[in-house]
Amino acid sequence: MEEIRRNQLIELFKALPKESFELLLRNITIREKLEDLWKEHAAGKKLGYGERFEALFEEVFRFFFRPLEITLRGFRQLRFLMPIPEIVESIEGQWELINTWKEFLDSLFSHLTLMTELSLGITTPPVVKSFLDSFRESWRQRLDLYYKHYLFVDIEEIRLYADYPFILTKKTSQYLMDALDEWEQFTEYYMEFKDMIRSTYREAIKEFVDLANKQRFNTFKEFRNRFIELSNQKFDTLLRSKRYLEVQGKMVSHLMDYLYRTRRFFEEMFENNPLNPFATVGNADEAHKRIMELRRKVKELERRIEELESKKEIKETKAKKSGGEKK
Amino acid sequence: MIDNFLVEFKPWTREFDVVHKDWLFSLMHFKGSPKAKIPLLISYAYINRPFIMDLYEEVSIVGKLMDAGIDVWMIDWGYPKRSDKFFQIRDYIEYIDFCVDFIRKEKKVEKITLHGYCLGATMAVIYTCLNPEKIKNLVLQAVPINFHTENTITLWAMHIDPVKISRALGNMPGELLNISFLLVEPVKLGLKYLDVIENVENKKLVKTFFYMDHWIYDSPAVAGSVYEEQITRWYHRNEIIKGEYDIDGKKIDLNKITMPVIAIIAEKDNLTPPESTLPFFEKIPSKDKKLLVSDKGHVGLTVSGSSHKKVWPEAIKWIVERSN
Repeated sequence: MEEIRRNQLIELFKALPKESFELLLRNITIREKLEDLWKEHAAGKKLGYGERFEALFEEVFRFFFRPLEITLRGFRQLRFLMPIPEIVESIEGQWELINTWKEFLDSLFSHLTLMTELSLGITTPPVVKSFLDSFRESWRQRLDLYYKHYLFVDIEEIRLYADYPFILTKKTSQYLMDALDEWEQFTEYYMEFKDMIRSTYREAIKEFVDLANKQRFNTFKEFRNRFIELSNQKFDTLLRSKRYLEVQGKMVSHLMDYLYRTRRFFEEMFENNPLNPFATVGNADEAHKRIMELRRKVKELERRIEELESKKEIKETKAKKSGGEKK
Repeated sequence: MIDNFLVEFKPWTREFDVVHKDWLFSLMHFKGSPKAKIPLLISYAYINRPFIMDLYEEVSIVGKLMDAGIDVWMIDWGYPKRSDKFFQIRDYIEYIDFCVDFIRKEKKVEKITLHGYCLGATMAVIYTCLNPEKIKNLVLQAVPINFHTENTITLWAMHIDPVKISRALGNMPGELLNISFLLVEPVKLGLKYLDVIENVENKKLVKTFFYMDHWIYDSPAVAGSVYEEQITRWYHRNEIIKGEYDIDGKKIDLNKITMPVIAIIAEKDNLTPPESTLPFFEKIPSKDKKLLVSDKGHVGLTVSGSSHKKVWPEAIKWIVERSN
């Protein structure tokens, strides 16, 4: 809407829940598109299923599809971890050239460093360096040595990537393979889920267009309410149908298994790496489970102590009373 | 025009003290000068925030109860985090017991009124079956006890494996629950803001609309183990209505509900349809029971003007009459 000036959108974003903000903006677009369609209808033109109804579909369903689309894209992080034999082979074949290129770059870098230091006048004889500068230099030299010895990427290291299945524990590789299978299954069901939604929407539009071409809607409100009503009827039937329930259930199951196995793959990798300084989510879950069990035990013990104490109190009161009576 | 959309969100019309905190849960006590002897404890559902009961003045159930002289207390179930994954329903029931005892001691009464809403009402029923001697009246607002109904959300729940969800995500995230609730009527959601856009000059409408949206999208996660139990034992196996559900081996026997009961339901409720309450209502042996029906939906039962005109005055009158 024209009244909503772009510089005010940030204020609106701050004031509303992010979902409301997004849906409000999408609804403004939807309204504009629907109003255009209604104007044509009001002018006596025949409506047809076209780009504008397709655009409406994107606006209406983006909110629901997005979380699933994110998972589809999220798969890339696993793909990057997969060893690609073609790349390893190509690096092996070109290794001499790569090495020569690297030596050239190293010497160019040293040359440029020296030239820059000379031109800036910062190359000073060691005698005038402060203790702090000397310490920094010796620290850097030590690190350089470490990098040269241990972190230099060579052909052997590249070959290691291809050896992943032999480096990882059997369990880790299994999680990775299972995660990939689950992702594939999830993708198939997601595509079917999306197709079902899209075809139901198209059916609803077809019916709506037929209706609009036969009967006149006098106001925009009437036009859009009938559109919503018809679509809701179609979706209500779909969302309760046997196939939909099956597809949605399986899609969610495979998605959850994909997420779980991917996490377990990373956890296994970290847990088997002696350099890893972090506890995994699985470790934390186990700790929380034990804390929760302990908490319940403590509460139960507290309850029993309270019971015992109140029994003791009753006994003591009775004893006092009977002592008093005797006297 | 945009200025009308910039609604300052301030729920809770009545002041309260947080009188107890235990890890995730807390007990709130509303400040007032109650006249009635029997205090009332609200157990709200753990899947949304309880401020819907005191959203704004015109539709504040807490406010109306207090104005009628009732001493109102409320449990806040908090926002479960990953570390709360292992909370179970029995921990929730235990906290209700703690709160009931706390209030009994504080107010020097034998029994209190327990008011449950949605899944909070399911827990109120479970608690009452275990401790009927502590409950004077039971107020049940949109209570699901029979989970084998034909509404869309139930059908979806029947086809979901909750163990896979909690194993993957730890808890059931509120955002995911919200998307499922909203997907029940996708096109309606896609166009629900049209009314507010077309009536932007109506400040009251815009305010109530966005207050509701703040509530809808403020959804806590459901602790993983709670979600597993809720879906498996309540939805899949329908254990409560069948008399098969237990807490720590203690069976939940609906025959223990002999105290006065009022059930407030909504005809168009697509989350807790009347069929999820009615078989339970007919089954319980209480001799003093009343059923009130609103012509609205799940949320409208609590915040619509018509429910506040037709249903709530009668419900509050019923509570007041049994609070001395």
